[in-house]
Amino acid sequence: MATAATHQAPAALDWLRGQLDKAGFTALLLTSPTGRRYALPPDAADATAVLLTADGTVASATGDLSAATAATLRATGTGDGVVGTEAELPQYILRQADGTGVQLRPAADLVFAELACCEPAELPAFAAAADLAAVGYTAVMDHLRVGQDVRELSGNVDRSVRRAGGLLGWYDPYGSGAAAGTDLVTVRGHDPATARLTAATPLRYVLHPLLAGTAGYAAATAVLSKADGPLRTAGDVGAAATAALLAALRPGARLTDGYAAFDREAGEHGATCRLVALRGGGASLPLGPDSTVVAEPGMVLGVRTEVLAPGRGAVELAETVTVTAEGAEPQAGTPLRLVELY
Amino acid sequence: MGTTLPSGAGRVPTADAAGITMPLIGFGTHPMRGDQATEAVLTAFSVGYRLVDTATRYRNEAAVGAALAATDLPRSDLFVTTKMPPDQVGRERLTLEQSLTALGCDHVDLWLIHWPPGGHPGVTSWRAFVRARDEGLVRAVGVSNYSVELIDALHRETGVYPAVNQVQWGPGDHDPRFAEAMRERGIVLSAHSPLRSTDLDHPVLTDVARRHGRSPRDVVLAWNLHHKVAVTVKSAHRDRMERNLSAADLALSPAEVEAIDHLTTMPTAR
Repeated sequence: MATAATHQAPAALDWLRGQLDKAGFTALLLTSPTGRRYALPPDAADATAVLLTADGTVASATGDLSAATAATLRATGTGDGVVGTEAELPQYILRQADGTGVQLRPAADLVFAELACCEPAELPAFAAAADLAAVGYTAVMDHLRVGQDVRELSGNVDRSVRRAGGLLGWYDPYGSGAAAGTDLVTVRGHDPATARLTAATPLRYVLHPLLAGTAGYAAATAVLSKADGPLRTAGDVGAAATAALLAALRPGARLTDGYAAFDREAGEHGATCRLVALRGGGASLPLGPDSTVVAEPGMVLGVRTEVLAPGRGAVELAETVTVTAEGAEPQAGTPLRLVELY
Repeated sequence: MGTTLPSGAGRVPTADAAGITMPLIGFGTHPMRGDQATEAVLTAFSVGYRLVDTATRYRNEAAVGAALAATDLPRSDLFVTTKMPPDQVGRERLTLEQSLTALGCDHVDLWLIHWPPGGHPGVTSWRAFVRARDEGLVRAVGVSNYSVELIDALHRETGVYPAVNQVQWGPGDHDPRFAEAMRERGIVLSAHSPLRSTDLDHPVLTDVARRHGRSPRDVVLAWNLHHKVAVTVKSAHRDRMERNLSAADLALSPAEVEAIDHLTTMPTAR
């Protein structure tokens, strides 16, 4: 039987505990990498399940998710009551809870809001991380050329980011539980047989630098020629839909209004978008489509959009944005449009 | 041996950049931002710099503009360089207008294509640059980080050579064939990062420096000036700004210049 370690919740979790209490939750079960990491000190972050109770206890357990979840519930004495779940849980976990007195209810919004809302003192750290993303963008975009080996790009980014005082860290892609380190500098669009860039296929570049645990967020798409046909269309749609998304992120509006605005603008084109919270390393689950989280000044979000260009790949854009009284303010300053280099 | 000349712009040698006079020592502003950049530019002006080098990419044009607004020096005494990043192809005029607005100027003295867009010559952009020059929004147009082949491609398509090509250039980058190719085309070679590729502890540099009572850094700057290469140097510290500017006073002998030329690590002409 798994056993759980317990400790007093740090003051940094007070706001989240207050929100739990207000929402009628006894506790919050954190199972995504970001959620677990957020609630635990770094040296305990290998836990499979973490339970934060409204009255201020944090329990964590390792091993099988089912056993670890049960152990945290036991350790905190959460024998009944409503427990919020931050990530989607497998059916067998939900069935296991049946009949125990514990009611599991989705609480992803609580965690998303917690990770997205920042104190003013935290904003410089996000700005610095976004700046690093901009440095990485420059290191890629200024040096692109047809025939370039894409592996050279990673080296350029690494050198530039280090020169700017930053360091590329490891990144868990959206709390999937997959191995880390897969998406810090991602380049798509090269000829897979030669690893070289071509003039025809758009290059998509994504960078998630970590600066003292804060994620920067930027992506860009460039084509090493003048765009035409489907690519030009995808570029135009991507720019317009991303602009619509950002325009919708106004204080008081639901963040999902941004999704709706994006979808309206993208129309029938194959397009997707997502919002993520960047505190905790940028690996939070994207904002759910049914979320009721409302935009408010001080939120920092990663915005990522993608429009398919049939036969030509896709146009992918991303930015770090801060929500201010006036709306969403891009931080990295990368072009939210298809870049044409010719 | 310290400088014997007073601080001031008068001692900085100049070059003819397609008909306009360009100081050969400029003040580089990357990566400074905000108030630090404004204060540094003002200090540089007070020390004697007259050329200030910025770029859209540096995201400090507004800070440089604040210094231009605050200085007592007339605009006509100053030389403002800025650069368009390659990802602005097709948006050249918009980019220039944004630069002018941020700088608070009705023109810049030199506007450069910062990098060859996608490794291409950027003919579309170059045509827009020439138009902006003809309309008086910029006094001279140039490029940065361009090879001879790319420059010739621009000339072939438009009949216009850049006034300046700013590249990483120092003793380690020295390539006489490249320098000669620029001279033949009437292009001022401008050095950014003049110290990056150079081993400042190399005995040749330290020996020359010792003979003149200067630092290897001063020697590298003086070596560039001897070759009529413009240098862009940056520092937020007044004393270092003064020292960099004092390189104008340091005369190297032909033998010293030749010895430094041989520090190159460039195997072939660019």
